[in-house]
Amino acid sequence: MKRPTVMLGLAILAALGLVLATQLIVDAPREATMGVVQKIFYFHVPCAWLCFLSAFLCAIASVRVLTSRDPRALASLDATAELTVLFGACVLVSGPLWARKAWGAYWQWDVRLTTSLLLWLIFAGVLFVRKYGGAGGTRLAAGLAIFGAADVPLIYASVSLWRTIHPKTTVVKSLEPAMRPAFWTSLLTFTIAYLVLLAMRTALAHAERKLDDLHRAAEDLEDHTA
Amino acid sequence: MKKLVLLLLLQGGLAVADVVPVKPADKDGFQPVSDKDLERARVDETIPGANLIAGAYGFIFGAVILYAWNIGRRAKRVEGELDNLSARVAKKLDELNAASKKS
Repeated sequence: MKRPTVMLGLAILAALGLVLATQLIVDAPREATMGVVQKIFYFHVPCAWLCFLSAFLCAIASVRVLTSRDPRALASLDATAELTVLFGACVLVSGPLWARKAWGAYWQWDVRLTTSLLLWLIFAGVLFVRKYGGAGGTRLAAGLAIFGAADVPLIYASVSLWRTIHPKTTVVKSLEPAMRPAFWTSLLTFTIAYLVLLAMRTALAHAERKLDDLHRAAEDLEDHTA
Repeated sequence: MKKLVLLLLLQGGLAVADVVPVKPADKDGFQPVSDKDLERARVDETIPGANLIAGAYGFIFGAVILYAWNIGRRAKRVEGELDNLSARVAKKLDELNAASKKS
């Protein structure tokens, strides 16, 4: 099967999954202490998972950028860094909205929240360096992305290592059976949507590289004829 | 007599302690509750949860859709530039070939 057909199929699957997930979230029982606002969990956690996955994939691409001159690795770095920032922003917006109700404040300088913000800032930095860093910017961005990805295990373990008001990671394992379908459908749907966005962004990066190569070829040709 | 009264009070206190339900230790995880019970408990809700959930879901949907649209727009622009440039390069190459044939 051709790649665009697969991508179209996945995009349709993601759209259908989103409709199903929304219905399951509406039907899921409310939580005793937080009420309806706890339903932010069904989107907040998948976004966090994709932010971590993206940061991890970006680190792998960055290692490849630093060790080889493979242009596919650079395309992968650009795509995953952007997606880390996108899903990180979703986490950093949905989390405080949930916290407003659960904790009575949008933000607390809690270790989980602070390290998550740090991850987002580092990957925003990666994008800035890639855009404005000039010739050496690529290697610097790759190094920064590896440094940023090292924050991911720290974020994950932060709720177990330090005293924190953020729900623990065991909350997913101990999820009530009535809440599970909404959560897992949402997680699967977001992961499919992520794969589609990653494929789209990587294809764009390849097209941009092709355009740059063609620009260089055209300039060489102009110089040759002049 | 005093001792007896104290003993009775202590006994009574212990008996009351047995009857009064002790709040269970906080369990790790979410506790589901029926909508009816929740409505009964939520007498004076100061922070509207529905607005917060709408904000969170709206932002996530908006961000993902906007990003996908942005990639599509950029891809279309790059594709157009690629086509233009390819045509220009091909034309230039033809001119060069024609010139070399003449000479």
